[in-house]
Amino acid sequence: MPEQETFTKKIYLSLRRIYGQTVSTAIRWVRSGPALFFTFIYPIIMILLFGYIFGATDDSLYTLNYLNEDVYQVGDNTYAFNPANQILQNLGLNNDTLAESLNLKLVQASIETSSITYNDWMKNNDIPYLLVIPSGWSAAVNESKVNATAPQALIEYYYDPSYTSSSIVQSIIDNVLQEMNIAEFSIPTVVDVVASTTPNREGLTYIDFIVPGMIMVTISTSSMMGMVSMVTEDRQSGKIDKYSASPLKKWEWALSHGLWHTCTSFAISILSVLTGWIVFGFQLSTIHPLMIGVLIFGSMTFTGLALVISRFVKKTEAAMAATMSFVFPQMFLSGAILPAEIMPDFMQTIAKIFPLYYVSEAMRNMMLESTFHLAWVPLGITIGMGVVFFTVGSIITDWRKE
Amino acid sequence: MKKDTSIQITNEDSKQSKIAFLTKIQLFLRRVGAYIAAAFIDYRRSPLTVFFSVAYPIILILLFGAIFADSNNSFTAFTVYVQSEGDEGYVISPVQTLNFTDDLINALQTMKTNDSESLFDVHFIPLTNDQNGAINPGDYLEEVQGYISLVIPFNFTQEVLFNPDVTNLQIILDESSQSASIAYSIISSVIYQFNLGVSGYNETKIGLDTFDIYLEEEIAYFEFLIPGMICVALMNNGVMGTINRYSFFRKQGFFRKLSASPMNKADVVVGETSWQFVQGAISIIAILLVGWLVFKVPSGDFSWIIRILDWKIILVTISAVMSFVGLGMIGSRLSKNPDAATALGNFLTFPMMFLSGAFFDVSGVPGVNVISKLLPLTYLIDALRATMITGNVSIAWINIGISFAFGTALMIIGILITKLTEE
Repeated sequence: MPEQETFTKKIYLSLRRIYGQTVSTAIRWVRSGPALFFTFIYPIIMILLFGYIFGATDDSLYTLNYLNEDVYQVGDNTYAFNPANQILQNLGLNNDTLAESLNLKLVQASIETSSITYNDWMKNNDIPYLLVIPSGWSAAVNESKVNATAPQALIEYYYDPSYTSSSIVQSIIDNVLQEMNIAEFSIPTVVDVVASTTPNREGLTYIDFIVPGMIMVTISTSSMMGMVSMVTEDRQSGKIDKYSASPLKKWEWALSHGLWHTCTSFAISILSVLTGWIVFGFQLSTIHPLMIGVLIFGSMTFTGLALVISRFVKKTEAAMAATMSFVFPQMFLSGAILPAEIMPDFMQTIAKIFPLYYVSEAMRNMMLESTFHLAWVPLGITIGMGVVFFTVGSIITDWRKE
Repeated sequence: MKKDTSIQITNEDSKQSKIAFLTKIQLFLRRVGAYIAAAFIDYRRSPLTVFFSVAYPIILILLFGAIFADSNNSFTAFTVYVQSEGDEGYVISPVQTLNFTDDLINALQTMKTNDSESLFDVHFIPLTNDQNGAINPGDYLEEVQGYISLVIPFNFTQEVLFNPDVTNLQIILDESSQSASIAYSIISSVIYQFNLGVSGYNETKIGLDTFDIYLEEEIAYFEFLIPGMICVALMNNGVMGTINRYSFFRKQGFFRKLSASPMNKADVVVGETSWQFVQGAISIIAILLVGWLVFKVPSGDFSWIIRILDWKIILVTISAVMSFVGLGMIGSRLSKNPDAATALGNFLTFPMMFLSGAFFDVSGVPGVNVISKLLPLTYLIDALRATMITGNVSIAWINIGISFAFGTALMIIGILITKLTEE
């Protein structure tokens, strides 16, 4: 009986120490500017930034400069309605509704072609794209209608390759030209394409897929940077050395940090989801209860990793630099910000070294019913990483004075 | 004689005032030199500063360079999943059978990029599973985490030949995927060409001729990223460095101590700006060297690093240093302690990095493109890109001018609100 009492008391005291240490960590966190930034401001900024930059594709408006050098004349008569004008109207000239639906805004270019080339004019005025309808183009189009061997009537598209949107604009013009071909030459549509979205993704937008990744990016950054800075500062100030003379055990100390980071993970997730929901209409139905498990073990993974880094890199600044060298490539390679599919194969392989890859995969696969079965492997890896990194981090943490 | 003496005295005065002036300048330079020396020692001892000025931009260059470099190694073919419901074809002679399904799949499989890489990686979706149940191509696509699938209807050839109505091909795609939208556009073009062929046209009658305005210069895409990386490094150095140092000085009482020394505000500001220029030069050299070694030397373009050097880079660096040191000084006045200063520095730099178009083209994003034009980093990147990469002198000068305007305004505000005597 007294043995059982002693054991219960031990557990009670241990829990008190964990609680005390967690509260102490929380107070320090609240008083720290960077910690608050990474916990509360950073996720909001990330969601707003990437939501607006990548999520607003449908609302994009590309300013397309055009130059119509074609004056369609038959004898002395000039015809206002001709293929050149037709193509411009099809691109949304004088028709704002059509222009907006094509994501284009047409602006007439004023180029002194006798003194400057199109290339130079674009370079000098920082113009990303220019559409030129060359002289005689309408006549060439009409010639094609009656003469099967007539050469192709080409309009010219000049683009600055440093603007990634130049390929999007080219694709828009291509589509409009195809439609015009079909209409002008009465080409029958024998085969058509009917596009639809994958069944489970219906009604979902880009933001629905970016929010889980952003949550995990923020959690990894916040946990690792916060933990590394706290541990190394405590070591330098001699606080950790003092812990070794207290009843607090290493695992209790590590667990209290893990608990606190899990709490901040929940705060980050709630903030990110709320921001996505309020500003971009994030679908709350994509949230699955198992995501809580990913959050907990994800936090443990990053807290454990931070303990490992701070064990080997003793000074705060050096440890922070080492952490950032890990955090930044992880952020871009894990597929959380940039889709993995756009990366070359070797980079997709490198991405698999980083824990964030598995954590993000688990989160993303849990969003859809059809991909849910794919979440088990990354979830298992996340749990494994969480347990291993946290245990190893706790064991190798050194409390001795140097 | 009197007149001579007076001339002698005047000359003596002028000589002495000249010496005094020179001494003042000498002392000023010594004080600035001392500040720079102290900052350099601080830099050398601070791995975090070295990370932000050298390692961070190098990581970004390697990452984005590898992702966006237009070399053969980096292209990843579009993975398209095809489900055909079966096609018997149409026998037009004992030795010739038409099969549009095979033709279409063959067209996708043989399409090449300009670098002769396969454009599509075609995978097939079976019609039934092991339990003989029908496989839904949409569900299958989600299960395999694909982004586009093409469903070809049963007896596609005969449908096309004998059905007076339009025959529909079904495309199922993940609308959140960028690759899916590009692949969809290419497949649509293939179908369009198919329609043309069926109608007896060999080629489209109205077409588009495209011209890359920097074709002659042979600029690789990663080169457009270099100026962005350099400016991001200059921004991180300037804003984070100044904000951290000033708030640390204030907290430690260094500023108050300095106010009791011959060092004045001008010495501190000039010292900080000069040091940031030196640090900026270190970052630029590191970025250019790594970019050259990793992306240019392997292709044998050894002279690239010389070709891109231009004296206007110095002007861009000065204007960048002025803008970001000014911003750092303003930031350090707004935050009371070094911890909060770091957070504020992140708050200022992180969004600017993405909104300025350093990594992604934001010119078509409504709202974001307006905010982008209000940021000094946007003009600095444009100035550096025009100076180093495109060689566009007029654009370079316009943007250098705007950058200097930003730099002067931010610097003046920063100097005015910085106080050495307080706290």
